[in-house]
Amino acid sequence: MLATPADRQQGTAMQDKIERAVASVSTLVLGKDTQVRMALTCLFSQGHLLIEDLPGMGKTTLAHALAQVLGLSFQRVQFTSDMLPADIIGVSIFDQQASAFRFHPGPVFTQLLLADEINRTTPKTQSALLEAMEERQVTLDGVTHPLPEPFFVIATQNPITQFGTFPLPESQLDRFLMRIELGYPDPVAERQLLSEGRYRRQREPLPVCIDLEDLASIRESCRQVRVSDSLIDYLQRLVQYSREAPEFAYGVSPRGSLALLQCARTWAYMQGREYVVPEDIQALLEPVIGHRLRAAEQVGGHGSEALIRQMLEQVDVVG
Amino acid sequence: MIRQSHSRFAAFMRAWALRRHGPVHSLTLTQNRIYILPTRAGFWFLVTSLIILLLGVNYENNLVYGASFLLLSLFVISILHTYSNLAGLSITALGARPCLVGEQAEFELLLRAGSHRDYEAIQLSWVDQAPVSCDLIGDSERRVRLYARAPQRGWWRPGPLLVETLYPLGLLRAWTWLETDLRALAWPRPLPGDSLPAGSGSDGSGALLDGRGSEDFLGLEAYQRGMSPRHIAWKQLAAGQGLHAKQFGDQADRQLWLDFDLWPELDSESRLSRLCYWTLRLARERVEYGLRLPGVEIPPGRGERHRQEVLRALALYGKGSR
Amino acid sequence: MKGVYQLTRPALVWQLLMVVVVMIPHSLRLPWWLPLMTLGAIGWRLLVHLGRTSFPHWSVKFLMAITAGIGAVASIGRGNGPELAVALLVAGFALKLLEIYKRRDALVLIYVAYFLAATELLFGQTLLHALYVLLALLLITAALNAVYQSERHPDFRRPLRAALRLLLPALPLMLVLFLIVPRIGPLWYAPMMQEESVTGLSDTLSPGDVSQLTGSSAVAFRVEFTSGRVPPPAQRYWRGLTYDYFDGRRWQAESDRRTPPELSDLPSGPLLRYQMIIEPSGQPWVYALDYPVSASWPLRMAPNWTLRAPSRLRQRAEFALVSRPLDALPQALSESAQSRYLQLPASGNPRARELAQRWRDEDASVDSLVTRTLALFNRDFVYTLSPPRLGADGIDDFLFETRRGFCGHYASALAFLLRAAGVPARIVGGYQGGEWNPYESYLLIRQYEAHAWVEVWYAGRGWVRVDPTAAVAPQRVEQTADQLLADEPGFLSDTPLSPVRFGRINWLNQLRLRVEAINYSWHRWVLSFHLRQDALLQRLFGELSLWKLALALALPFGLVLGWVALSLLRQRRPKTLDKVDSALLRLSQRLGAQGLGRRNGEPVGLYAARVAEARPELEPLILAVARHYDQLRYAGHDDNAVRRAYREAIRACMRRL
Repeated sequence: MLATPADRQQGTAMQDKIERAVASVSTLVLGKDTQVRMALTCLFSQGHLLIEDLPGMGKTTLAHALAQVLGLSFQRVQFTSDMLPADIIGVSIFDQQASAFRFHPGPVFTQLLLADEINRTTPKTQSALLEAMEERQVTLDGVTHPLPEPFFVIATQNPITQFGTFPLPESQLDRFLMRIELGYPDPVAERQLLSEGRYRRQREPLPVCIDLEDLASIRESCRQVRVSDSLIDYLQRLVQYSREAPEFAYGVSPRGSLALLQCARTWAYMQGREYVVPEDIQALLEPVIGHRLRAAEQVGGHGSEALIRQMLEQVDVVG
Repeated sequence: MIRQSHSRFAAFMRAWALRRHGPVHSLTLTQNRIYILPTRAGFWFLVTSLIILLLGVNYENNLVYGASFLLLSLFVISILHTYSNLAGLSITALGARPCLVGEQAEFELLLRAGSHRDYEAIQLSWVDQAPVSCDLIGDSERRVRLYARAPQRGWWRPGPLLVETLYPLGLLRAWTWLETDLRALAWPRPLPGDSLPAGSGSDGSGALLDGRGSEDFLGLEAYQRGMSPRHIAWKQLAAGQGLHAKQFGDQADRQLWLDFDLWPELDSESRLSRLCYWTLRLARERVEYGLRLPGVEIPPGRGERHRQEVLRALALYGKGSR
Repeated sequence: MKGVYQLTRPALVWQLLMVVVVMIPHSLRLPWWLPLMTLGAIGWRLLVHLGRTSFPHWSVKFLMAITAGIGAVASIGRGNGPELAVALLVAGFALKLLEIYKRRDALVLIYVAYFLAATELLFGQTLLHALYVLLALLLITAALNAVYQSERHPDFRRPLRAALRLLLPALPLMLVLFLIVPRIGPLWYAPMMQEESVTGLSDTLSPGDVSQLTGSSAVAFRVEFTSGRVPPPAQRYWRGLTYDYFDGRRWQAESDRRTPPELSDLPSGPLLRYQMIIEPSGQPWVYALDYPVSASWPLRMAPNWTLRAPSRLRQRAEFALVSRPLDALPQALSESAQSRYLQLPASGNPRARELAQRWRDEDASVDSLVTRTLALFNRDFVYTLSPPRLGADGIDDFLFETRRGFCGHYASALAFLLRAAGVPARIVGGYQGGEWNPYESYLLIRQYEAHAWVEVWYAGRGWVRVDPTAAVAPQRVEQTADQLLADEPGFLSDTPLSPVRFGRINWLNQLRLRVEAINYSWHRWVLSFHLRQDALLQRLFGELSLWKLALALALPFGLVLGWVALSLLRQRRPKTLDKVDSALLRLSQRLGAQGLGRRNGEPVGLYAARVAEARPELEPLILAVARHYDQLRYAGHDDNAVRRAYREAIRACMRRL
């Protein structure tokens, strides 16, 4: 489908907005342009984001900045080992004046929830949050409370090798559309950071670059992005490889491949393209697929990153 | 007698084959690895063909000659088929699960088809163990579990792996031996003992209690968002002292020590066996326990990883790290 | 310890199928109770499989084996070795069915099945037989494969595919072995198989006998002429034997005295050389055109100038013959011979004797006697295959009452009249005619072409052929029998659906001739291959030597085995690329020579960027290639303009390299 000039015009206007958003966030999170774009891709694709990294890498800053540029209501929950599900989704407390139970909404009732260190809490509490993420509503004492629209969760977690954590089970990881790592800043960014003396504190709130209306229009446009048969072939070869190669304990699920396609559309749209190319798939393979795969036991020492790189080298684009 | 010499020949062949190639982690079968010889059934097939040939000769019947030639050709063609049913197959040693001495350890192998071919009725076995039959029909790889009885404590190897096939007609047997780098850990054979002698608890409270440690109240701290409402100090709240949360700490002193010196009357292998028994039992009852062996001390703990660590120490005691 | 293999269900089903296929042709020959027993065993085994009953106790099997053995000996008789052996094998085969449970039992059954399938070829050797046995071997191989197929993936059809994949390449190897492996004679005396039915002339002729033969379209023999022209139909008299002795009702063949022919030279003239493949007749006679001058070993010449095999022909045989076409056989007649050819019973057929006497008194010349007789026949005699019955004085009845008959009647009447008139004469039995097959250039002689005629001895000339039938029904001699006799009720009465009957339908006739031609080649090149092998090999390889034969064996084997190995071990080739991708591949290969090939998994866009960086002069072109590629592949702009632009860009790139 060819875009009409008007669409195109609108498209480029929208892309400018997105660029501005990226630029704003980058003033706070230095040198993480790609990660910022990926986070936006995830949110535009209506998925939840998992950021995995060591403490102090700027995970929280990124989440906060995203909330601001998107103009979303924001809540932050620090997860601890003694947290209960009610601490997230809310409690019904007996109101003596009304002599009835009154629902006190938990922090989950927000448009953008930052769930910090999600792997610090017990599986029970984790699953309460993840269910809310999946269903976009909370049911308590037989009453269903819908969550606001849009609803995003940005969860952060420490790498599972850290002590005293409850790693998320694979089935739960699958609920996150993407998992990204921030990593150490590059030397230039770090120098800038150091010269300013401290972690950049927010002096004034970031301007809202993309409002809710824009968000809806972006989602609509992403659905129009073309996916050709050749591209689907390529995607299928990748998925097939992950299912057959012995390095993987199990391959990509159909949900995983759908997620990949959805993200690739958004990614292509953000580049101002009307069709998906293999480059999009390749760029997003690690963040979208990485946490859904598990390396087989015998392939010790390789992270999923190395495996995915190998996968990209093994499966040809052409053919 | 014949059988004996046959098995001696087989042992010789095996030794020769294994001398040619060392232990491997992963291997693709090629012509310098695959041996092929007619089976007894193949021998009788040839005899049948020759009898038919004799029939053709004696009755000067060219069609019977033809039938005999066809069977002989079939034999020749089946050499290739049998060979190709192993060729290109790659075998990777994935790993082994530890087990108790005298039990069957589980070894896992991965078979992968070379190119997109089917492999049918391939038998895998450790020497003198029952074979496991497997196929790669339609799928390109398969995990195979083989079992072998653990002979002694510590690391052990199951011996050479025999990969063979009779497919398609059973006239020939193609086989190869390979020494894998698989090794399994054998824990000591558990030796039941009625009770844990007194003195095994670190603080004298050696009775087996409910494994869940109780919680001790430590103090109050200011309530923060995200804290469990269960921990809210309602009494203080009602007293108008603001929202506080109770702080708890786990008591960490109900622990059992499994000590090498608990049973002085036993020899050292039996002690290890007894320790193994108690390790398994305590792990089942979710009690925290630690292990003291001469030169080894594992602090008390719980859970599967801890159990593995303790059992491993028992298995390897006095054996070096390998 | 090896596990005990229990047969899978497909394996069992294949075994039962194999047993049925192997048994069907044998069961037509065996005593009726053997196939029944086999069916019973199959049923029992099926019930066992379904869990309805259990395997029989060993004592039951033992009893059944003993009974079957005694039964087979009793109903076949010990004289007939091969048939008895097959019957016993079949009995054991059927009983073994009740034992198959493990792999070993199944193997015994399968190997016996191979053997039984091959023995079927001893009993019948037509092309159909061979094809049937080939099918049986295929199914047996499938059954064998089913025994070894994976227990986890039991499948009914896979064994058949596997058997085909094994047998098809085995066929050319078989052919090579068939051609090359030298044939040796029988190692020891093996009793011949009893032929199902042999047809042919018998050693007596009563004027009804030949009619039995006219009911059969079975092949008598086939002849290929190797030199000399093929004689016209009217000259195709195949002499087999002479009937010398008449007892009043029947003529009997000459007693076989082993004296050489009394005449040594024949007048010179052109020779006819021909090769004859003769079907088993149960008689030693070999039919030759007038008059044979030499024949291949082990035939010998009888005094009456006919050819004899050393024993009765119970198997198909092939001989090389040479004849010289002559009007008469110049043979002197000794005293004893003369009296033999004038022999008549002391009494009987008085009217015929009287007629002969009268004619002789009027004109004693042989010519006039013959002419008068033929004229008599020509007057109001009728040629028919269903003549009325004759009384005690058969010749009289025929000559003066019924006047209807066929060759036997006319020949015996003529011979009788001549002998009664004092002229030596004898009846010749043989065949007349033959059908020319244009596809393989040979003459096919069938049983219904059996014929009887007369040879008359002229002083000074010798024996001269006189065919009285030709006087009555000249068409019988000039046309083929099927053309002449098609409307006769007795003709081909044994084979009502014989294709010969429909000879007048043109295309059907051609089809029939083609089938005949195939049959002939089959006989020549397969069934009698051992007779031709040396000549063929010499023609193919010149002077034979061991290394030549080894090479002839090794080369095709190497080719076939190499091909099979290749097809088995070959990697599946990658999917063929379409034009867009293959153009890209070419470009990448060209660039690859400079270390700029596209890496596996590298998207075209990234690749183009890499190339552009390394070779700035190519930048616009290679980026255009990538852009067009993306347009074609991913943007859905797959139209001719873009394709053309893409090809242009690739070509431009190539030019710059």
